[in-house]
Amino acid sequence: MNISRVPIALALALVLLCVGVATSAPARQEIVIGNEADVTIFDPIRIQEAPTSFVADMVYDPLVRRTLDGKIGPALAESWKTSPDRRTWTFNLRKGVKFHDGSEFDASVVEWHFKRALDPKEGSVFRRQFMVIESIKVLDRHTIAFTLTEPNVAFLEFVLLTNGGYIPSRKAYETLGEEFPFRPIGTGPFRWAQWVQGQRVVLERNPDYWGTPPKPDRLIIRPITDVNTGIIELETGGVHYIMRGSREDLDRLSKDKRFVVHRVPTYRVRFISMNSVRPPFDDIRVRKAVNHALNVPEITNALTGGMAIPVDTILPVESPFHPARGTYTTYDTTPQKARALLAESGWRPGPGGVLQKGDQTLRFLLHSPNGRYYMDKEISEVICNRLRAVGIECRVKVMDWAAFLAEVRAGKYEAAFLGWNQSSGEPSLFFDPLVATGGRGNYGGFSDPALDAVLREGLIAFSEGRRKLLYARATDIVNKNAWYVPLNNEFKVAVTTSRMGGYVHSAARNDFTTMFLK
Amino acid sequence: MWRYIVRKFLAAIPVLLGAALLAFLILHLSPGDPARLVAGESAFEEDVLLIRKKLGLDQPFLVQYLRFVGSSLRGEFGRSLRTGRPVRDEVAARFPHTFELAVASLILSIGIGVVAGVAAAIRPNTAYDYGATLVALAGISTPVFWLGLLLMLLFSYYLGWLPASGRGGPLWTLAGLQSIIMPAIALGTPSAAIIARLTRSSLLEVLRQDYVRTARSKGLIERAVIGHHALRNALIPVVTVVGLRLGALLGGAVITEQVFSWPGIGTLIVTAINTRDYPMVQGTMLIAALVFVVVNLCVDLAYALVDPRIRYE
Repeated sequence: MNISRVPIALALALVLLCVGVATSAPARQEIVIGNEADVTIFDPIRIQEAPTSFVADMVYDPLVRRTLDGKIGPALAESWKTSPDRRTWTFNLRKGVKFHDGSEFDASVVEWHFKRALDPKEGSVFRRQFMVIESIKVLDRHTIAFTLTEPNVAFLEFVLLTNGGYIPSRKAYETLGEEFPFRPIGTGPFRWAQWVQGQRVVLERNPDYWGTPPKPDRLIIRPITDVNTGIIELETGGVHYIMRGSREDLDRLSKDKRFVVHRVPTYRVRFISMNSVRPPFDDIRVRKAVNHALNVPEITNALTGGMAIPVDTILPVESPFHPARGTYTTYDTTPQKARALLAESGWRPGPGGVLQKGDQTLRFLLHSPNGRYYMDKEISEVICNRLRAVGIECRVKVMDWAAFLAEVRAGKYEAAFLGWNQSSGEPSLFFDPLVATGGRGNYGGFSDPALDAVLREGLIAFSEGRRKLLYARATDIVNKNAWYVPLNNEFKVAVTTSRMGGYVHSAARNDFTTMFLK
Repeated sequence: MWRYIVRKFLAAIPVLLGAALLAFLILHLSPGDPARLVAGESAFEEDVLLIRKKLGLDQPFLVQYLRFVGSSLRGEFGRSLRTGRPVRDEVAARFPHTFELAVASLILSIGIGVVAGVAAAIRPNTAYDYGATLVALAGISTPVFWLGLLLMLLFSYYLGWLPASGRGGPLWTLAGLQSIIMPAIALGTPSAAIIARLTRSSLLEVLRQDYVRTARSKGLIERAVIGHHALRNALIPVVTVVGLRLGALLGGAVITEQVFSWPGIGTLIVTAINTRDYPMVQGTMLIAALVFVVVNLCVDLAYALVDPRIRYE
């Protein structure tokens, strides 16, 4: 009996030894991320959607990259300088960098990429923005110069830090043909491994990465379109990281030790745009009256507390160029002032308290998307409700996003709930499109020559102090014109399992290279 | 039989043309500019115009429609405006997942529905019958997204038996099977309830027929009377409903797919509608209509299996 126990004991010892060896090997770091939607297309000059853009950011590198604290740091370009006439930007490129397909990164690839982005036949969605580039010149294998049509301080933001600024492999473009947009090959910290449509994207650590090697071995990005499903997936361990959740769920999870809720104000501004070329908002007094009639902090805190903060400018509060309070025009919540302004403009109380001027009634439609921005429809409804108190009849017109955008973009609206998202607080990214005459997001016909002059100077003034002064002035002019009712800055939200280490939540960008599971 | 099938297929052509026209009309009448989508938010108006011309969106409505019909007949549904991929490939990659989900939920709903319906019919007006009616009513009235979340809470959160969402793999793998259980239950519950109600009323009707009395008087055991004589006849209306339900399940999978992150055409079509991806919406709708027609034909043919008196001339 005793003899037969010896081999059993030996076998057990061997098994235990094997288990011990197996468990002492470092665990493979595989992090699962819940994405809001499936990815679509990875040709950098055609990437328009955030769920695709954040994946692209891990596969591709731009010439310069935003740092987590919102500044601009080197990436494929190690350094750069501008010419004395401020029109030429010269970049010294990193040497010895290889694309994931083994081809070499050099100035000729950069030249090819930006020329392609400017070619109308290539269908670049950034062509208009990139037309600030007059010429591109390869000075040597690792030096390239961009000459602009006019001086532009925000060139890095306008061109290099857009999705179109990611540099793909030229070899991939030439060899993959129609598959090129669906098999991204860049120089980034992760390599493309697998894409099962509608199910997952798998990225693997790039062992040849030029920068600090990423900590995760693999990133699995799963599209989870339903917000509640994302929360349950996180709670059941199906994913380690999600990017959104309802206010109630986030509050609940923030009290749960198994999770960490991250929130930071972002460069996402929400506002009501009042069309200055259509009645009733072609009258500045009506626009000012609306600003006085609404208690924005109260509405924001009640409906979006914990998810957004109230604002009084179209420039995000996180922008380093945001002027100090008291240095620009604001509108206190005083319904009496609103009524006085409307009376001054000739509006008199009519039946049911709604104001009238002759046979006209003071009424307007407020265009609102439903769910595009946090609590958009609900905020619109409260705004309409509040405006009735000062005699303005307002009705919310809720539309699906595509239809909403088509009408608003064509200027076929009186007032609209809108938002503007950028990845940085660079002021020209907000002012130039939203309020410069003919700006691409200026849907309400806003125009002020004095403001245009300030904004033009803002693009060529290289001193930060001067720029701060200019954009404080711009803020004041915009608020004096009362084209908008600034509402809030949405928070950027993420929830991670508390096993996750190394993650830094930043408004500027998502960095998944430092993450690891404890 | 073959003549019948050919005739049915020919009759399907106007249905498909009508479906295509409807998809076309709804999209073209709703605001939203697909050319702008392709060109990008900040594109020059000239670029947008060029793209509109390239896509043929500057042509009169009728010309666009006829072009679409013509290319559809050749099996070409155009390319997605969002991704540039052929619509046919995108749908082909996703449709099998919707189909497997619809079939799984149908099998589940037939299994539960027929058993519950028979059990209620053989004990009419008892507590069991009332209970089954109540559950069936609840099943019909429960919104899919809510039921889906409840299932997730129970099976994933509290019990930890099933993955909360996603498709775990092919159905012949354990992970694949586990992942389809909850979506199939959520999608199939209303159908199960309908089938249960229909089976009950149809079987009650049949049980009153003379031939059932004859079968019983021959001394057959009750199981044989119900199973062999009554149920077979009672199932004819159920077969019709099952066929229609499969079509409804294919279409109704949209919400279930969203809730369970199931990679079928539901998620594809929702995104396509939101982004005015005309070719994708039109192509998906046309293919869905074609599947509906084929399913209905199969149902017609299945009658003959259930009821040998039916012949196709």
